[in-house]
Amino acid sequence: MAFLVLPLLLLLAFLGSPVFTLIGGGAIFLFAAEGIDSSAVIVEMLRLASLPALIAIPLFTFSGYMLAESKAPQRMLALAEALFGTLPGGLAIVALFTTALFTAFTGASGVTIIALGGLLYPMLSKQGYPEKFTLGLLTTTGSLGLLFPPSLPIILYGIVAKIDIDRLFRAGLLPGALLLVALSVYAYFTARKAGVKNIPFSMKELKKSVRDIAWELPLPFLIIGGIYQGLFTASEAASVMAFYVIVTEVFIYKDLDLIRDIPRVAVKSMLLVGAIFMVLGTALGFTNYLIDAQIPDRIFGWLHTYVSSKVVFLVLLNAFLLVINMIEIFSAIIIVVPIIVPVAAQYGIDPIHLGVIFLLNLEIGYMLPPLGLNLFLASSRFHRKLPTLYRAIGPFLLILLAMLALVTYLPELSLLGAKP
Amino acid sequence: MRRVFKAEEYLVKAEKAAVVTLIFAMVSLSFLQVLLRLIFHSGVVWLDPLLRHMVLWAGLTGAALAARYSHHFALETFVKLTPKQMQRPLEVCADLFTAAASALLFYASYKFVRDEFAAGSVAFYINHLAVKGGWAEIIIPASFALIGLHTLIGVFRPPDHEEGPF
Repeated sequence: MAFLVLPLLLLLAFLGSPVFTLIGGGAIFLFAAEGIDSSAVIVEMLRLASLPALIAIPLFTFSGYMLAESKAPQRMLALAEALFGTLPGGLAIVALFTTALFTAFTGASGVTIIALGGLLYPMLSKQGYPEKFTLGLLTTTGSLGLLFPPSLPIILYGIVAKIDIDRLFRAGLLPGALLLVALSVYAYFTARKAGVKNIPFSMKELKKSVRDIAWELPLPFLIIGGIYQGLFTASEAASVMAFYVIVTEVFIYKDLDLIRDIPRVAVKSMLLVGAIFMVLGTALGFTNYLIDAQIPDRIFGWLHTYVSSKVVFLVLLNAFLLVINMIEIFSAIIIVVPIIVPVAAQYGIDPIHLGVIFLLNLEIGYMLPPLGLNLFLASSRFHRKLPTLYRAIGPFLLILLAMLALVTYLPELSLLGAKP
Repeated sequence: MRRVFKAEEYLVKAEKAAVVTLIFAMVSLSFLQVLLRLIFHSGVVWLDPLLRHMVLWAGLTGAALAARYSHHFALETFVKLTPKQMQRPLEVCADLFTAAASALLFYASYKFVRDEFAAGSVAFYINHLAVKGGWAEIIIPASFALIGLHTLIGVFRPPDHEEGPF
């Protein structure tokens, strides 16, 4: 039977059936084949109500959507421009840092390209950056910052792999920062070669932009600092952030209306959360079956006969993850992580290190031709054909891949920050 | 069919109201809990399990809404590559399978909740009030029923009705 069901499920997947129906249906079939009642799938699904960190997902998503709908992106850009605009390549570096922060806080669901890309594109063009560079940069920024707290994929990875989310947050910091530095260096040289004009520094502009953003400025320090200092856990940070963002955007800046906007944003954010929960809920039963059937052990056993070296395994793993992540991001974390964590552990790879590798792959998968999500978003946002974008992201892709190689073969980069 | 769309609209409004109420409750109650811990080094014991169940309810109600607005994760790229006149029939195929899978999952969760009621299990306590497991978990079969319903109605919904809530 199984050899009939698997191709059928694959066919249905290609027809565009939702991922949760494939996993849920598959799980019920697998359980039935073992003579287990289908309600066992639901017993596993109920774990959604017993994971204490899960509340971080709806609250961070809700806060991120509120920030994206407010005028926070404009205020953030104004401040960053006033601070760094005067450096060579300053505006491009501004773009890198603001989008990274913004992606981390909005959960990397593609809103960065939509919200900030539209603002940055004319700014960068006016400053004289080459068109190809600007397009490549903005397409890359759609997923930059995935490694920084409180990004949604990190939280989801922590929950699925059963690792302490706070430790994962600390592990991602150094590789994430290195990546930003590497891209900034590239931006610096591109700007110098293209003869981009600097923006003259103005104390008046700086003071004005600081005054404008005064209420939002403490937020990253409060959330990221609070988590790193151990003041609160990731889920408590989510709660603090949601409360803080409602108060500032509704009552102080009045960007969002409590009656007109907040319920709409709440519903919008819960569509994403609902989609994640459905895959997560059905996958809990499915992956449990795979673990009970010792599928990871069998994969390891089979793989080990061909691949005995850890390095070759990591190369293969990266190639596999890039393709998977290019196709579907959140589902990839939920389904693939429980299977590869035990396999990688047998090769002696630390789950935290694997987490950083996985998330960096995710970051690249978002922009990997031909199917990466960022490419489609940028194509519709900037009205450019896909092949134009494929060429534009080339140098950025190379930098990210080099970073991936570095993170993969130097576990210390990730593990240094994660020491308990 | 118009009456069905109208009725679905009311249902969607109710789902949205539930989601918004739950989010507001989650934000305020969890923030209260953080304040209690940071300032008074204490907390309300039953708030944590209550919040965890609110997360379940909010997420699954969101999942029902996601079915209405076709927001569930799926591999849509390959369908988009097919010729235009093929896309609608393929979509209907996927929808019918979604409805069938939802029916299976509904039946599984119906059996589960029925057993929970029969066993008289308790999900959590609010002081001395026992919240029955069956009631706390009834959202699971409900969400699968709603997903199936929204998907089936979606087969007949003309495309201009699908512009989403925003």
